[in-house]
Amino acid sequence: MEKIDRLGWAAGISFLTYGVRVGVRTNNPEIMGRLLERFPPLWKRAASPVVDVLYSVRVGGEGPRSNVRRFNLLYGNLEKLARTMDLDEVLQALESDLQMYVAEFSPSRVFVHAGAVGWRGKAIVIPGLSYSGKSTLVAELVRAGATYYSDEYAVFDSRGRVHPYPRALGIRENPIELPKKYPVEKLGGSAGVKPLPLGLVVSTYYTAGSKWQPRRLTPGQGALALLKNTVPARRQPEASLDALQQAMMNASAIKSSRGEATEAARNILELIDNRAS
Amino acid sequence: MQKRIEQLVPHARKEGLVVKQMPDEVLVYDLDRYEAHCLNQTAAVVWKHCDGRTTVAEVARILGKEAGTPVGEEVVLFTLDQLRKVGLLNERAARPSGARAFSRRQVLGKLGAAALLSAPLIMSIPVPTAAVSSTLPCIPEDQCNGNEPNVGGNNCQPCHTTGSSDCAKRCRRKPGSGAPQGQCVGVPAGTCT
Repeated sequence: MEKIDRLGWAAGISFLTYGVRVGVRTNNPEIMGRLLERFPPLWKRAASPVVDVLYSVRVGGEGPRSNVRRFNLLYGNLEKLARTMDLDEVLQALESDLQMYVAEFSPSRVFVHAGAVGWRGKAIVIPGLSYSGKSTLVAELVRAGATYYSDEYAVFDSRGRVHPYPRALGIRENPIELPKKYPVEKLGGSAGVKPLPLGLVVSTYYTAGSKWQPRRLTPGQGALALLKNTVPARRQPEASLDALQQAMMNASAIKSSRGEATEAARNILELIDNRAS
Repeated sequence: MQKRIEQLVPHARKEGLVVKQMPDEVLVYDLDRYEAHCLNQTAAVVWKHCDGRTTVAEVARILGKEAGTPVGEEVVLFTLDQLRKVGLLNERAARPSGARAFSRRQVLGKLGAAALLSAPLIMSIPVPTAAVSSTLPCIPEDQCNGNEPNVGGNNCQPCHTTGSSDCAKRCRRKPGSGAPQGQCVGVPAGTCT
């Protein structure tokens, strides 16, 4: 760390996010604003400089001679995470790594790769990896009136409640490009604030032309569908299984392929409303 | 041989497992194999009584009492086979030599229509690493040629088969591969990491 420390740092911040203490420093104070935009949602500035993980962003720019340019560098603790001429790539790498770190190392929350919305006082959770279409489906659920919790992580506490992770939705318009970010307000929706008990797990994936034909899963099978996408499952097996067991105690689960997200969103909300009435 | 099957005393594995009870099911996380299982009520009852003292015949009687209908030893043996396959029985609980293996259809037939819902079932999943469960942008499989652009840092994108979240092929920069920064190295199809 001494080697990195000696590079010289001009600005930094320490903050708390989902129980993880994070430090970010840079040699160029002018990019601090751009760094803050990359932090996880609901971060809070911390008074103490003691952190669990330290990111160091070295902005390259012009070298000693006019024809020399320096690489932009990103370190996560001692590890070099990015080395590129494109500063945006470094910022993207910071955002990705920070997000993953928090999801894996949060001491008090279990992060499940999933979309999550609130409906009638309970959470609907849609587990799945990239390309399963969960962001698109979450966007449609929000447009249909559900409260936005996340398109990336369902964040469970030890009581099995789902907390918000309300980052801007990342909706993919092109398969090979990074998703475009949409704040939930742009979809006419709002973000949830308080934790919700889990109501329904929807295990689904997009297949063009597919019919919505949900079959019921048992609570245990629903827990497995969540565990399959649980980030700290190997690092914190007890806590992960505890949270998911609690979550599924009063929740149900369904599985179905789906066609277009608009119709799937309507089907999901109707299913819940029909059960409630 | 019939006598040996009746007298078989199965023994459940307990080490290296995290077990959580649900109302009618049991969740089991295997810390050694990084697998998780959901045992339905029948499978859970059988596993619970694999205590190294209870014979197959006795387990069948216990199951029958809970199901409200007589249950043959074939059901227990089938369940033991399933438990053995997923590593939830101790090694010494091997199937007796010459004992038949039963299919799920045969077991359902033995249970009868009244007890169909109680057919033993074990559902299993691999437990992912944090990296696998993370979000990396995907590109279509036919565009994955081992030299993907370095989007989002030095991690390369997984390839992806259309309509599924399982990758058929991944392009990822291997540490120590000698590939220059920002270049991806292809891995063989079928090896999702």
